[in-house]
Amino acid sequence: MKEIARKQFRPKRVDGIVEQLLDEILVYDRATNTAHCLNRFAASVWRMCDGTQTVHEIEAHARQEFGANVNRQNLELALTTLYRAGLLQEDAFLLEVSKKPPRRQFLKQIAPLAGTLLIPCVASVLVPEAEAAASCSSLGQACNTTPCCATLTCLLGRCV
Amino acid sequence: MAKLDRLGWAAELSMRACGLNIGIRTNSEELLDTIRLRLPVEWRPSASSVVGRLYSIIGATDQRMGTRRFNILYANSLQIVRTFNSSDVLNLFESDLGIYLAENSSQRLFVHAAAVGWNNRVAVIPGRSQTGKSMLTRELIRAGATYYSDEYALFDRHGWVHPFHRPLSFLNQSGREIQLRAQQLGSSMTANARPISLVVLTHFKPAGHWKPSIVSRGSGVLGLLCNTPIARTHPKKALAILTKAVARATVLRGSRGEARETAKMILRKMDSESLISSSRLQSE
Repeated sequence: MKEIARKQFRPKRVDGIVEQLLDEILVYDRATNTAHCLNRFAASVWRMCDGTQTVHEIEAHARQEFGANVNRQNLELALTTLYRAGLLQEDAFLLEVSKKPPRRQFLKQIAPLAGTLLIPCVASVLVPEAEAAASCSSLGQACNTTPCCATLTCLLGRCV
Repeated sequence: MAKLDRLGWAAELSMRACGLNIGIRTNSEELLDTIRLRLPVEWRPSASSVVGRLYSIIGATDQRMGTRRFNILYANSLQIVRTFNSSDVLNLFESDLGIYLAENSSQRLFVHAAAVGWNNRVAVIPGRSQTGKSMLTRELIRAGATYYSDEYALFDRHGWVHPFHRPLSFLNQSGREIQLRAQQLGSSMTANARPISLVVLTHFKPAGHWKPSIVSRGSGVLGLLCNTPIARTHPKKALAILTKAVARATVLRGSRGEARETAKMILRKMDSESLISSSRLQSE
């Protein structure tokens, strides 16, 4: 049953603003205000997840790009990592795969065989509101994370 | 606003900074002269009578026996502060102007970060409030670095950093805020736009030691993006500029201990980075 689901599954990435930075790509998801940094392997898999290619086809393409060491485990780890970061759309197959053993345990199995090149890495940050990116908040701005500027007082989460 | 307009204004200034028109009016010439010293480095007088934000500042002049007058600051028609302390008004004006420019400038990308120059390159230290940026900046300046900014690092569309001079502010042992101008620490104020060679992602940790690890440039972009006021409203612009800015930089991450020790190590790192980049240029 799972194998059938895997064969038919066509992962689809979420829409985002993308910038290439040498080997890495940066993705900004407007829906969640989250920015992600993907290493080369994760970026390559993510780009291939266009909703038209099956997991088998993605695996074949990844093998062409990264060599014969790419296997199902690498790819599932990449898909899981991307899914957990919110970079792939919801799917029953991904939900199933992401219930597998934790990433660290998975890495112990595949790292000796695959090398670091085939380990998908995604770093994500929640981009804060504008007020958080200042030393102090001005009149009327939020003061939950940033103190109010001189003479102002934080009252009910706003500087007054 | 009409009520404000009817007050007697002794001095006015229309200026342009970071692509925005700003007006300032005061009830005395001397007060406007004091305010001029607090304007961003790149401001220019403007002939335009249409401004995006108008600051009206009433100084407590004409003190009579037994009376105290308020200093009042308005941004457009909104009263921002009314206080007996004139320096509070000036500080708040400076803060509010910085926030306004950061959120509205089309020419510059503002990132909440400290920046110093060394060997024609700039080190940028992004970070939230009270992570020890000002202390580190002070020690970097004392060690000979050129002051760029303590509050906002300004990036142009090529990713180069421009100066944005504000006084460095610290909390002293009794918890009171003290301010220092960079000139008082011996820094020159003539800093030109330069590319970044180092992004330092750090925060102060008591009894800590600076043992940073080199992380990917993408992590550096994320660190800067988290401190960019317009990151949520203009993510495409912010990402594009920061990606260019970090393309040739080294990114260090790790908590730090004493600022003086860390400052010396940062400058040493910048020395070695400039050696590497000059040898790279020669080989090209």
